[in-house]
This record gives sequence, structure tokens and C-alpha cells, in this order.
Amino acid sequence: MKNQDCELLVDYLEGSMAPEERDKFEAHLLACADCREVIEMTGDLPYLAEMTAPPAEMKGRILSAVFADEDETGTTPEETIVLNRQDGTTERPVQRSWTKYGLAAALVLSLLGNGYAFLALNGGEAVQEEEIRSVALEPAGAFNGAGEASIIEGEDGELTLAVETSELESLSGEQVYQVWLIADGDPMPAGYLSPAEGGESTAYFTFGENLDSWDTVAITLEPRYGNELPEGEVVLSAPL
Amino acid sequence: MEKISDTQLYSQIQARDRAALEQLYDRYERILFSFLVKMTADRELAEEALQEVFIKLWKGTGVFDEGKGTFSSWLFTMTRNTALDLLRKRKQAAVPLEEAGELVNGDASVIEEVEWQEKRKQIEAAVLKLSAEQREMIQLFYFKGYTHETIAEMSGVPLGTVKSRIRLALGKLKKSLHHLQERGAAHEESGL
Ligand SMILES: [Zn+2]
Repeated sequence: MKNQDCELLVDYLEGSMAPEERDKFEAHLLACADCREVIEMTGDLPYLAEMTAPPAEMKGRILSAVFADEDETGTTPEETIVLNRQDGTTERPVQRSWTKYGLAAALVLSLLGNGYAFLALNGGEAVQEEEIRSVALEPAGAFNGAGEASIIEGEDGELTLAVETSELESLSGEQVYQVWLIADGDPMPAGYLSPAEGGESTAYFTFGENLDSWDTVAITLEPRYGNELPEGEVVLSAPL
Repeated sequence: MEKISDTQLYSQIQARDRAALEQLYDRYERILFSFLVKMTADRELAEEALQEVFIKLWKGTGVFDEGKGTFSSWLFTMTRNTALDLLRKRKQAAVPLEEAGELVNGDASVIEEVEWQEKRKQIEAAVLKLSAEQREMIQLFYFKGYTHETIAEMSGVPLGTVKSRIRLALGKLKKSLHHLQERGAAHEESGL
């Protein structure tokens, strides 16, 4: 029953065998129930892992990477965000490529679907609200961070912008991340993000019953709270 | 509505069905991510490995063959091998044996899914029948991906001895698990 080949089980599980050796061992497996059963048993071992909750945005990231190959169109249109700013410049285009964003956003939309309902905390009370749109925020330049912006319709028909971010670069001094809704270049302050350890932060901003004029959501890195117009650079953004 | 089986999903994935891949992802995200975090002790590396696994599934690298066992076992093996490749590529120095963590860890989350919890209970019971040394062998070899050479080097135990200890530990775990599963099945049949 036990033979020399059984000794190779450990090498086989190490996954470092040369292909011909592996073929030979797989032939042994057909004949040796003992080795076969040990390998089958290893199929239960992953259940010993303690449950670790996956990050919320991981699914979007992974599936867009998986499907990325065939979605590549070969064209990378450069688009700009037009943003009227505090420093007097009426326009300050931010050069960026939307290709990657388009993919991720389309995917997030398809994943969440229209009927995606979730519980939002509202005055300490959980109420059912409906997400009507969700886009992935794309980092500008070399900025480290990721996020997702969603438009949620409450029971009263009011729309709330929810911005969830992860892995944002940490802040120094009075710096703060500020959320903006932008309509044709004109920004409106739409909340703040103060990432804790790990860079996660969420902002909610209720803005009315109509989405039509808001075309972009952007996050800037501001030197302080309370700016009515952006002073700092755009770090994350997405068209709505 | 009958729940679609993993193997059905797998053949739809081979036919380039994105929704099928998404469904399979949803089904396995938690267990695979948790397994990878246990192996790598690094959430970012775990995500990288998980992405690699689903790219392989989508591209059809490595083919599942029903004759070779269950789909989940195949997927777990593929996941483990992917993580081992990544760990080896990074050439991470193996952490000292005493820092490699425990095979079982008492403070499991209470919100685990029922199926997972049941399997876990069973395999934990089997694990508890092993000696401390055998448990360590499985933690180091299976989860941490240490080769028997590495374990031998780090523990100063001869190569051949380490190899047979690993094999014995796995064999004993298999026996106790079978025993528990048979008892469990008999239990169900008798309606108790
Ligand atoms: Zn054998």
C-alpha cells in the first residue's frame, strides 16, 4: 500500500514539482486512495480560516481587472474637468484619462443594479433608501486612494450624495478633503472627508430633488475647512 | 428555483459569460479572501492573489476536471498555488516559526456563514485530535506555504523527518475528519 511514490505527496502539495514528475504522481493518485483522500481533505482546510470581511470596493476592482483585457478599445481620450477656482482662475483643466474610469464605473453600475437598496443612518434611525447611481472615483495623477460616489434617493424624494473612500493619503495640519458637486465648471461644496487610520471615510450631502445640472463629483485636498471655492488640487473625481 | 451548481457556472464562464463569473465571485469571495488573508497575513497581497485567481478562471488557465474531485477543492488548490507563487515572487523571508500563527484561533467571528461554520466546527474538531507538533506542521506547510526544506532548516530537524511528519499530520487529519463526517452522516440519517 505505502510505496515510494506516496513520499512525493508533500512535494506535490508544495506545487514545485517538474511537469513530468507531476504527471507521474497524478498517475500514482489514480491508483492510491490514501494519497487521493489526503488531497481531497485539503479541500476542507480553507474553512479553518477566520472570516475576514472583504473590502467593499474589492469586487469592483477585481472584476474590472478581470474584464479589462477585452474592454480595451485602443483609444484613450483625454478629458478635462473644468473647475472655477478660488485663486481667480475661472477655469483650470485637470488632464486625465477617463478610459480606466469608464470601465470601472460601468462595472460598478452593472454590479449594483438599479434596485440596490441599502440602509443609511438617518438621525440614528435606519431607513430604506434607494441608490439610483454609483460611480467609481478615479485618482488624478499619482494620488493614492480610491472611492465611490453614489446618489441615493430618500423616501421623501430628496437626493443625497454619498462619497465613500478608502486608502486616502493621510492629512497634515488643518488639511481636509473636500467634496464638490460641479455643474459646468461651477463647484458647490458637498461635504468633507477626514480619513481615519487606514484612509477610510464617508461623507453624506443632501442637495435637493434634482440631479440634472450636476455633471461631476470631485474631491480636492484643501488647506482648511470652510472653503466655498476650491483652492487645492483635485485628487479624485468622476462624471455623474 | 434550483441553485445553479459551481460546475454549471464554471462551464458558463468558459463560454465567456460575465454574469456567471460575477456569481461565482460572490459565492467564493469571503472564503477565498479569508483563506488568503490567513495565508499571507496581508490584505493587499490577498486581494492581489484573489484577482489573479479570477483572471485565471476567466482566461481559462488551468482547467477543472470533474474526475479530479470537487470544484471547490480545485478552486482552493488553485488559490493556494497562486498565493504561493506571489509569496515566492516577493521572496519574502519566512517569518520565524513561532510567529507563523496558530492553525486554529479561538476568537472566530460569530457572524460566519452557516455552511462555513459547520465545516469549520467539524475540521476544528479533527484538528484538535492532532498533537501540537502536527498542528504546527499543517499551519506552516499548508497555510504558510513553507517548503519542507524551509521547515527543516528553521527547526533543525532532518529533511526526511520533516517530510514524514507533514505526511503523517495530513494523514491523521484526514482519518479523524472522515471519522467525524461518517458519524455526522449517521447522525443525520438516524434523525437525531
Ligand atoms: Zn500514495
